[in-house]
Amino acid sequence: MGKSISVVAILFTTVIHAHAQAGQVYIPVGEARVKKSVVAFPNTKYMSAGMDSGDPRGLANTIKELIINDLNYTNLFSMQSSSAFIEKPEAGLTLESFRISDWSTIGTEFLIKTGISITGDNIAFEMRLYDVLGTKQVLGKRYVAKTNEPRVLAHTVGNDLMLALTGKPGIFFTKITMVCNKSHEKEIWVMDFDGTNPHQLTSHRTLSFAPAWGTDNRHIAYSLYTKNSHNVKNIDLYEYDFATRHSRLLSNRHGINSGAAYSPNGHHIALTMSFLGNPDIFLLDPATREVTRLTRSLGTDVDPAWAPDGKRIAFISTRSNQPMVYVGEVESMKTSPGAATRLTFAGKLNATPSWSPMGNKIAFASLNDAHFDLFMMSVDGTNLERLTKNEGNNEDPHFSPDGNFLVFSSNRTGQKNVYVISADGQNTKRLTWGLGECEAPKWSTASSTPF
Amino acid sequence: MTADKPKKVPPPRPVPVSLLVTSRFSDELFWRGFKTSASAHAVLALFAIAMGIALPHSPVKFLPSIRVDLVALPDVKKSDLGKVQPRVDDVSDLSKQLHDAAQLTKTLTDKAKKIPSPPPTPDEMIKVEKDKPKPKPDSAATKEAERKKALRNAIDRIAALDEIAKDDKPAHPKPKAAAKGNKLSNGDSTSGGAAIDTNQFISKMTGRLRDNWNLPVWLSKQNLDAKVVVFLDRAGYVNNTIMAKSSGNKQFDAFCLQTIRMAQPFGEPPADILSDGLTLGFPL
Repeated sequence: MGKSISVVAILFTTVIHAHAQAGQVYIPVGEARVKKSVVAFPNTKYMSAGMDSGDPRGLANTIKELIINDLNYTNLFSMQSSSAFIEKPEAGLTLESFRISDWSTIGTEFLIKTGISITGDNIAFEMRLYDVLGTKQVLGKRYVAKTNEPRVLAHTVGNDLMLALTGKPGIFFTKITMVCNKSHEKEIWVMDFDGTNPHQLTSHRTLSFAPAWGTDNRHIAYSLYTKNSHNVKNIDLYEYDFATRHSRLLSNRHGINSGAAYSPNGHHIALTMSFLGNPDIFLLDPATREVTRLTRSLGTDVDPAWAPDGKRIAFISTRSNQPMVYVGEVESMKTSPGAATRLTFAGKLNATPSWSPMGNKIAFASLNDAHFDLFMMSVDGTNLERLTKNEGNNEDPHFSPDGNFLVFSSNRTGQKNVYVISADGQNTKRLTWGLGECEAPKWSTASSTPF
Repeated sequence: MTADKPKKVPPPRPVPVSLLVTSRFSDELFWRGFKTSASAHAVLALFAIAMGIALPHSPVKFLPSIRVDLVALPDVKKSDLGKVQPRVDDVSDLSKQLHDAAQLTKTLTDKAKKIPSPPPTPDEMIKVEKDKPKPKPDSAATKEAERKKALRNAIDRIAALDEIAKDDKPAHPKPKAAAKGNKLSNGDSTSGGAAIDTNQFISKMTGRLRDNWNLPVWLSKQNLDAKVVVFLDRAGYVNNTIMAKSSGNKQFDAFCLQTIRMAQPFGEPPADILSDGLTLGFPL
């Protein structure tokens, strides 16, 4: 009897509880409005201790402007104009030394306060990031640098700000390699992520092309038109070393050695070789220079692009008559060359796939209506999106290490130059000026220090 | 005048015997083939029906032999997707519309003036003359005041319409969200007037939440979602919140709670919401 009463009680309670749960109202709030975060960056304060020589070069202002430029590049923030600030000049850096309401009143969401002291050729720089709505300090750091390194200091601060705000480190130390013909021949060049500091790496005085960054950012593989000892033309593969500033030969096998792409672990280079007769994708070990065949088809296989996990490769193949994007598992392709899945079925000609470091998207160029444009799709070929239209020929897309940007070449002004566009296609910036025709850009891997 | 001679109809050509034979043979062949095909189809149909009855858990599947997907490169840029078309009553058209309205009003006024009013009776004429108030002199100050009043009304109208237009436009146009799966909503046990009160409250609360639901760009791209259980007091202020399902991202969770905090108060809640609370889904 007791057992049956307890069973009934349990059932009764369950029914009541279920009824209560079923009755609770549910409201789906819906998609959020997307907006840039409002950031205020007042002038850097001169910290009284150690300012024996003043700031005749205006380093404080230079560093502040460089940091703001970095944040503006990301297009994630709306920097408030200083004319809106109401804080008194004597306010300090720490939370106790200023009124947070001076910033919440004007709509600031994040506040960056900085202080500087200059002693000889040394800079001590203090940065504090505040969440105004949460009334708390998010980050506080002190940096030491030389007076001739304002850019390094600014980029370091910018990277830390990005990590604190977005959870991902910034890209302000990354670089872009490309091919430019300012010296009348196509040579390999390098520049900073924002187009500053461009300089020429090679001087072969012949056609250099298809550069690719090594995983450690200390090497660049590229192809070179050469003539061998029998005066026969060939396309050789070279590797530039930043430490020695010299190039070494990686492969001069007969025919094509081009389209290099380093694997994420840096152990192999995927590239197109034609020494066996047909242009196919091979894996080259840069240490031993041994090769492993990955594709064997009646068509031409080019432009390999590694997935960030290093297990798959996207590439272009004409095995179905028109150049389309294919994806294959590397280990499967080693034993069964050519085993790959076709991803694209549209466009007259698809080229240069680039796999997002986030692993979820592949960007590529496609010939459509007599022009090349940039497109992006999911890694299974679905969700095809268009990024450019009616702006000349747009080619060679390559993702930034954070997956938020694509660098590409475009002749929209009549001359080929390198541009950057955000991955959602919203903002386009030109990066190269006065370097002749520039093309085939590739973004380096992430770096927390300058290289 | 001569009668038209009747036209001569040529005699039918004799059909060769071989053709006659072939034609009859073809007919027989056709009907034989038709009967065979119909019988075979009937047998297949009966087999499928029998399989369906005998083995209900293993039905015969009819699959297309060839599947054709038509694909093409998208024509619209991703950054142009979801852009709102200019509304008919867009702010930029307002000034023209107001001008047109003013013109119409003037035209109607002029027409009304031209229509003569019926002549008053003699007695009424004397009364009207006696009662008629003395007209005030037309002063420049009066005209200026009236002009300012009209202008203020016009500006108020433009501002109000502008607010409506702003509410309809997203702060930052986004591409269409991927289609969500079917979702069962919890049932509502209220009925009659109580149901109306609850629905009105929910509608108002949803509006206030959406007005304050903002995310930074980097968070919106991460496809996060969270559920928060909220308890309200009688004035509609938040008594307590419970993170029923965290997004896994502290920033996102904080923005959900911030949205609730900034959207309150929600007004007096109905009895069932006051006692049981309610669950908010960000975004769904």
